[in-house]
Amino acid sequence: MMNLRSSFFKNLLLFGLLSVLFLTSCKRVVKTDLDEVSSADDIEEVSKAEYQQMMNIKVPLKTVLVDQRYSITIPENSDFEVSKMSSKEIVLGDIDLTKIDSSFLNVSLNNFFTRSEGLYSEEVYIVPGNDPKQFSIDDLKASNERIDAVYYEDENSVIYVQGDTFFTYSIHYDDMKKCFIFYKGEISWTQKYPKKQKLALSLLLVKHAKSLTAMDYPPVKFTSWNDYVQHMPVLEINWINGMFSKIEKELKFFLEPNEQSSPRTPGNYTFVKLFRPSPDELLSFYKGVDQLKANKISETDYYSRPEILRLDSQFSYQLREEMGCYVVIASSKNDDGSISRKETTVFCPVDYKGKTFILKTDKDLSPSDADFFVKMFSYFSKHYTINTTANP
Amino acid sequence: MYRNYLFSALFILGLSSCNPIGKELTVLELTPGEIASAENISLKKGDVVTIWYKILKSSKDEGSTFRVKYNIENKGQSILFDSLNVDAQDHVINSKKTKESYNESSSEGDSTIYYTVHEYETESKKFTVPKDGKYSFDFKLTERSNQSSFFGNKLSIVLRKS
Repeated sequence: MMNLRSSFFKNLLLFGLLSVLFLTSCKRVVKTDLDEVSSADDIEEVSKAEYQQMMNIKVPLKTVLVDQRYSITIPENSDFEVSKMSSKEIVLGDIDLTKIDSSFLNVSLNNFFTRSEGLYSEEVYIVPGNDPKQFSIDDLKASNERIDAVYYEDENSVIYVQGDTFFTYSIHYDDMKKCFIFYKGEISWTQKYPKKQKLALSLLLVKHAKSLTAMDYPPVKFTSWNDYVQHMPVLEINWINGMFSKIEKELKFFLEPNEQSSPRTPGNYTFVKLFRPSPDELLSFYKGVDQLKANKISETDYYSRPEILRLDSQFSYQLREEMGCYVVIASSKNDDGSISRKETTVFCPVDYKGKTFILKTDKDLSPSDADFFVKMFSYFSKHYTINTTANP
Repeated sequence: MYRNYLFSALFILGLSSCNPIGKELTVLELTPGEIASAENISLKKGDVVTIWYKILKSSKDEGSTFRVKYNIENKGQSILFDSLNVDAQDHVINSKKTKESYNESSSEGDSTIYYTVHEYETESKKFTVPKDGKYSFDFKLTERSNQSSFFGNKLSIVLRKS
């Protein structure tokens, strides 16, 4: 009887021990940094210091004439398109422009970041009106829609968020021309970036908005890639760095002879191509460069080259050299000799560990974008990265 | 006597509840010509990271030959750059075959075409972490032949840690 009881307790003990072992043996909490990324993304109202910091950012500006009547001042790297009547409904907060009893102008501003990737959008509306008090900043905050937070507001500008979409509005009245100038900047919820970065970019858009009526501003010229980066919002810097970290890895490890690579952006576009040309291709590239320099292109040279520098007889070309890069401007001419289109491409040879690569802009750029890429490519050709924190 | 059975049963149960293939760190879907990266993964010295292929093959598409190169970095320095062994079939897990079909219309009438989709994972490389730190893993898929396309097939990388 004792034996039986002792055996029973032994088994019970063994069972208990094994159960404990079984329950604890495999419990390992492994923490990876992937989980840590989603740290708190709470942001607060913009402080005076943050506002001032952004207003101190240098933005090269230019004044353009809209509809041969209105002058507005926009960033130098922006193009603009004007439409007189818009078929779509345009509502700015509580103001429905299509219901206003006068025709208005819609000026869409485009730059490298807004054009294909659509990181944000910028629209200007010029609306004639005799009463300066007809609209106020309060009208730009939609009263019948949920506004999740107002991050910044002054007498003529506001930044607020609906869901994850950031809106920047501003309103100016031009006494001379008797018109309102509305500005609307939008960073869509589809752009998955930290709210803090979106807010910083929205603040820069406030600066763009406030510059619209500036008539007197100092000329600004960036002299290096570092200079550009210092005056760019973090969201744009991170976007570019993200793309170039892939270009960097292609250069250092992955790209093989005769290969090329153009990494896809988050929005599934491409903007830079890296070539690792064969000796023949490289020779052909430099031959093309020499011909463009001398402005001597023979008929047989058209279309004959590999992809890097392909010449088209429909275009006339100009080439200039800057900081180790080649800027090629191709102009297509109409029958009457007037220029109908200009395409800018920037090339930059990069020598890395005895191998030659060529960086090339992949999209048609406007001439005002060229300097940005020249500085970027030139920096990359020296440091094999465009991350300026590594080489300040 | 039954004690031995109990012991064995618990032992097997204990073993099977462990994850013998390791804990999944991340899954990266590969697109030909593009670098896919897993960045800033915290690892300890002695951790073993196993690189698995996850392949989805359809019998209706031509099989293509491909190659995957990879690069492992710590503090911005490459510590390993190599190609993955794509033909390894020693350790295959999560294998699943499903039969699927589509309708094809021709002059002789409609017909149903059956094909098999085979999904499986196969172990390719093991990497033993040399020191504590944050590591980045980059992968690039390139096709060896131009004749066939990778279209229709899917290739992902699964990183597991043990």
